[in-house]
Amino acid sequence: MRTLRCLFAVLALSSALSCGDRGERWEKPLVVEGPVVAEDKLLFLDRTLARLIAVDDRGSVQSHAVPPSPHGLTAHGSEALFVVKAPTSQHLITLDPSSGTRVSIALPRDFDRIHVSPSGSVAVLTFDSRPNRGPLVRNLNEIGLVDRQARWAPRLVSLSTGALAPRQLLFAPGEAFAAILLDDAVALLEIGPSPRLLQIPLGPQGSARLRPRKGVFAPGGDRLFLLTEGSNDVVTIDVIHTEAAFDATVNFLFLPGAGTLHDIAVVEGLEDGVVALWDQDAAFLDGGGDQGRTLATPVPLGVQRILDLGGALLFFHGSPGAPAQLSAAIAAWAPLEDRFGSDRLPGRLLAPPRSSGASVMLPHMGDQGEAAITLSTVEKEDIRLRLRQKPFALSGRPIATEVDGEGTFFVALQTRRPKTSDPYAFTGAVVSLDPTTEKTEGLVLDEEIGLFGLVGASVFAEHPALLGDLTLVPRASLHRNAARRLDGFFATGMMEETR
Amino acid sequence: MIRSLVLAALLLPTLASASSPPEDTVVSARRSPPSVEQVPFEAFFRMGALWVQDPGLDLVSETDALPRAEFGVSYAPWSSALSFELSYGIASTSAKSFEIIQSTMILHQFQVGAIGYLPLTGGLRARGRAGGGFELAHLELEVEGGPTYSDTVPLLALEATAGLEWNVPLALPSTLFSLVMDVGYGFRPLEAGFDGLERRVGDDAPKRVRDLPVDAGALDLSGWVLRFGLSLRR
Repeated sequence: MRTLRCLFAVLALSSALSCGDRGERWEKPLVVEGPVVAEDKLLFLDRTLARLIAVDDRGSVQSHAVPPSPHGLTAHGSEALFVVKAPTSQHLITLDPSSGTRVSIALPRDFDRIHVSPSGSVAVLTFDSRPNRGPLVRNLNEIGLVDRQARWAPRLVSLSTGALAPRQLLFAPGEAFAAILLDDAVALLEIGPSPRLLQIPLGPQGSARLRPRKGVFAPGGDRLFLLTEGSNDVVTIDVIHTEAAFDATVNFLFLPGAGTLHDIAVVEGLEDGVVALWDQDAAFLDGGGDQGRTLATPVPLGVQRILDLGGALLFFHGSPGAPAQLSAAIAAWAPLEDRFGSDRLPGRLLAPPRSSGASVMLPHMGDQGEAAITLSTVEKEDIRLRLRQKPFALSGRPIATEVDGEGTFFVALQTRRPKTSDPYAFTGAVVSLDPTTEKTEGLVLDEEIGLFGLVGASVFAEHPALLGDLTLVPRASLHRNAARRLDGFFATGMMEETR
Repeated sequence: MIRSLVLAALLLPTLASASSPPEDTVVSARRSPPSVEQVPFEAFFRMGALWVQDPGLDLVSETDALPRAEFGVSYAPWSSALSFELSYGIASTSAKSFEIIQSTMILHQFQVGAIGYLPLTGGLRARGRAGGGFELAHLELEVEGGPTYSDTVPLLALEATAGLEWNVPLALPSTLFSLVMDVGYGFRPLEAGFDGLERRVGDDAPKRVRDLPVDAGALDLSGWVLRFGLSLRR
């Protein structure tokens, strides 16, 4: 019996030695935000293990430990920005994943959306109204204003609107102020250490409430054009911004007899007004309301989006995914030369078109149920515009599109998995089209594509997977033997993050 | 299972004595129990744990320890005060991470060692052991209903322990039963760098786009060692 007692004592000793505190975070689900493109890197924020994962365009992965409870990932240039929450404080963190340098600025609230100005000098922070995001309770009318050079302390600005949350935030050119689009209102927030706030209610017009859906600043920064639900007019807000005054006037620009307003754009060569697209009309409207300067043209039914091709040349197309009668029409318009041309795709538009110079790449269905991309090039003839169509058949269904800085188009496809008899086995593929040489390339990937885009000199396809799954392909060489797959890369550095 | 084996081995001497002739039975010849000098061969089984201090172990373990089982043989060629052993050990730990990932680490140990003995009293001996060997550390992350990622890295290990050994004669001729307990430290000069983590695919799987290995990090498996178990000597 004594021997047995000794043995049990040894086992007890062994159990005692086995004690250790693993930590709660291993018991929680792995939640990762991203990817966000930061120049040549894809950024992912691991909220569970508190680390930033950066993948460069050649597939090199770096993992940086960050303070606990990170959220709200965004990027500016090569830097990652996110908010971290400590029990009694919260900070805006700027982290350069290349050098690992980190800047921390204390915040007045635990915001979860970061809007960085184009120059990067300031950031406006807001709350996300979506459920299961951010703190349990938050005042969606509170906004944070942060000088990223920390020349002045962050400011907390309180709106007094009935809106649930800011829908969109736009920085005015010059960054003197920002426009915050809310339900039924627009707020203009002056950028500076003592920010002035101007709330512009978009009250009922007749019985309709005006909900801003899209906003575009004129290049001068003193005029904001709005596309709103509830009105077929373009709402114009002229801003008076001086040291003594911060005020605005609201005007409505319209085309008599026009139907439903679908899109607005401020285009190159026509900066003093706005181009608006209605059901069957398009018009350039003078920003000051001078109707004598209005330029208008009828358009085919179904065009709902404006693409600016540059040089005061516009391309109109339908809404991707809409039925063929509402998405197959295309048109081009040169308002200053009063030249117009239109055509029709054989089937419905499947993914957003992309433009490069005077060429537009349109992914669509064919009339036999097959998918294709059509390269539509706008050519100016004596009295009209001609849309020269060049279709390219696809062995798959387009799901996303991109265009790089050189003007090459890229299309992500869902295609039949090769070497299988299962008709429902699909995988991803990527094709490219050079609009100048009309050279095409493509490769079939190993998995279906969840997210597609460009990063540095590569295209990336993210495949849905718990531990992360990416395929990177050099844009200049769209071949399988040049492709690299990073499967399970969220595990990078996982063993070292706890040190 | 292991505990049952130990208990069975512990009971052997008792059973053996119970089945032996009573004291007053006339026996023509009776063997005296063997001494350790007479039994140079040893087959042993040890249990125990590696107590790893590196917090990176949290990925694969809910505690700081890797339970270990070890078996091997030893031989004392010249004197009962010094023997040489050859052993294989397997230490493993597993934990569920992020609710749906089963993370496992298995450490295969191939060791050689030298043991010096110092007789104490009765069947009790103090022992000091120095060993070293080659190890394979295998990391596996298995996503429920999804892929499995794995990597195996080689390691070198040095281990020094000190302990006690209690030798008990068995009814079997020229056989000793020993209970052993060692405590010491295992030093691994190199960390286990799991920088080649890749998805496991079957041989008949379609050819894949070239995978880039994932660097899951490095783990220092040095730490305290506890060994206890039993031996049979002949």
